[in-house]
Amino acid sequence: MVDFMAGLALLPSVQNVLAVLIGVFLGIVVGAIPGLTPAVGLVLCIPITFSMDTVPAILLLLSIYCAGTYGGSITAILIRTPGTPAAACTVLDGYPLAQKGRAREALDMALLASTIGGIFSCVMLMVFAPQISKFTINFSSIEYFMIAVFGLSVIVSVSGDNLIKGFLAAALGLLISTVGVDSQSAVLRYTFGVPRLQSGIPIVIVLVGLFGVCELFSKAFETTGKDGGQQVRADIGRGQKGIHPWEMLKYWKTLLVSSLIGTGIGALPGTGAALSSFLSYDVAKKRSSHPETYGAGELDGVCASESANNAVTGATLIPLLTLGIPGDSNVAILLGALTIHGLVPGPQLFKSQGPMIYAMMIGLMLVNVVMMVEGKLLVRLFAKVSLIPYPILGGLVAFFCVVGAYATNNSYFNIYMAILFGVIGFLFRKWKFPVIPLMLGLVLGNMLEQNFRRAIIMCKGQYSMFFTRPISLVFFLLTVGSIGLAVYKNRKRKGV
Amino acid sequence: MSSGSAENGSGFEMRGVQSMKDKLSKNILPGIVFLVFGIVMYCLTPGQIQTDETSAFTARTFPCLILGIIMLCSVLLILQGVAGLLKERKEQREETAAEGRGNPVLFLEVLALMAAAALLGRVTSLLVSGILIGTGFLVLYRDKKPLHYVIEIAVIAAAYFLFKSVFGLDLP
Repeated sequence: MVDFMAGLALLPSVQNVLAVLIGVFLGIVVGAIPGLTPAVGLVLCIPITFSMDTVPAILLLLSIYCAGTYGGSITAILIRTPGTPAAACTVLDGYPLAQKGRAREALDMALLASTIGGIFSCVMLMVFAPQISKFTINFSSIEYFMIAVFGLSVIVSVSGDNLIKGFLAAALGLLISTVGVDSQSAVLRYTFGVPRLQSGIPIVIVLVGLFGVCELFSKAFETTGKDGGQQVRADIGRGQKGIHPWEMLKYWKTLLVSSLIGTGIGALPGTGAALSSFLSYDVAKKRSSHPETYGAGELDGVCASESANNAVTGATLIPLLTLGIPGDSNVAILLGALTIHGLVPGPQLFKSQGPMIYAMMIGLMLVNVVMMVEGKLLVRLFAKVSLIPYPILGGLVAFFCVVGAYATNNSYFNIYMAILFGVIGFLFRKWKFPVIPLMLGLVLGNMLEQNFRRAIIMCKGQYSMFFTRPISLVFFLLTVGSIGLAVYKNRKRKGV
Repeated sequence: MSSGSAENGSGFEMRGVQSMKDKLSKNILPGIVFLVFGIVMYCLTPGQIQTDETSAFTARTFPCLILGIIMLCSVLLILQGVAGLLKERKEQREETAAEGRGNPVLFLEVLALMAAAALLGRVTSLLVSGILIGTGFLVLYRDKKPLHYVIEIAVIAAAYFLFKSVFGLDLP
């Protein structure tokens, strides 16, 4: 409670309010532009946060993450092009509603459902994360090692059809994490005589390359026409009827069930917002007394999809803040940003930075409220964002990537590194390699290696300790369960 | 009728070749790239990680383990690709052609533009290289509207001064 009050006291400041207002605006814009995901938005804005205080910096990024997830629904409803993968399910009923002249209703529903789903998951985050952290605070190297192994088990569920490619991507991430000075023996590793590599490869550079630069390369490769930008009409007719917040009470069952599904899915690393929205949509359809209307313009469908995908935003922070495990690419970027600002996610975080973390969690709630207000007031403007020609947008993204890479530690070397990782990301996309395992390997590599080395010393040759200590055993079983479940789902999907 | 079948047959062959090429590029080629990378890095490791530790787990152990995994997975990926090719030949099964061939020229142009901007930034400033990138993108995408160039330069200049003056980034 003391930390909660201290966190609350950190929030009222002009800088924080501005960070949330600007972050939400940028987030919705990024989400609404097809091809720009919240991950790209986060990466491009990390350099802006370098000179900011920790709380406004994290609030800015959380705003982009949260609002970006909602922003994808705007183009999904208006032009049948989901701005983000999470909004893919919203197309099913959102676009038919727009075709019937009920675009404003669909957009209002998406906004209100996203807000409610987001707030619900914030509450869950505030309830569960501190409790889990109390439990994890006394972990030793053995448990930390097992947590890292559990984190890496996510590879199985995010590798798609080809597990070998997932393992290769993760192995590359682990190898990249070893570059620089080894923290235990002070030995240089893979620096190739380049002094800049002695401190390792900054995670931000990898992120800028894999998400920002790679997007530019992929778009260039995919462009075959003269003009890369497609012009589509995305307008909301004047005088259309919207939805009043009170009318949402009619949808309370769908909101509750979908928010629960979204939160549950989000708390599991490696699942994602797209899965939660499709699952919620399916449940809502099965529960409905008129399932035939789904897919033909049913507001309840938009409600299910959007409340579920935004309910993921708070829930994904539970494993991140308590165990240091990023569940998806957005959260992996947030992890990088937190680290830059001196907050190392994991079991010790609540003990060492309690007030800061509470400020973040309460701030996330504020982000959802601001998202509702900005979304309601500026929806017409956001709808026009999709009309920006790609060449203009691409040039700006490239400029932000260059500035972001340079500003990480004022070095041109970083720009070349970002371009290199952009090429790696491009090849990954072309060869159908998943990127998330690479991120996981990069983020968890150090934790895995250093704790394993410490654990070996601790065990004194008794390796059974990895499986006999209760918490370590629990994480081992969770790892086995997670892999088993993913393999089972994969086989079921393939019809084996 | 016969002409149609001939055409169908030719289309089938084309798709078969395409599918084979896709298998080659999606599994075998990356497998070979990773295998070569793994072997090269493994050979370079003793020179790149010079340690005199005597314990069981040294600074070299973890990277070598990872490189072992990379080499093993690469071989498996290549085998998977080869098995896919053999299976396809045996069953004479046709798969749908993969996505479009893409535009490698534009990709290389964008890559060169970014590298040139980084080089130019070193001798001038990031503002100049930013303007080069912005206008370069419009040129590469054959955008002929002067207003777009004006907007692009204005936004980049505004963003540069915002980063430098408001956010306090130390930009050259």
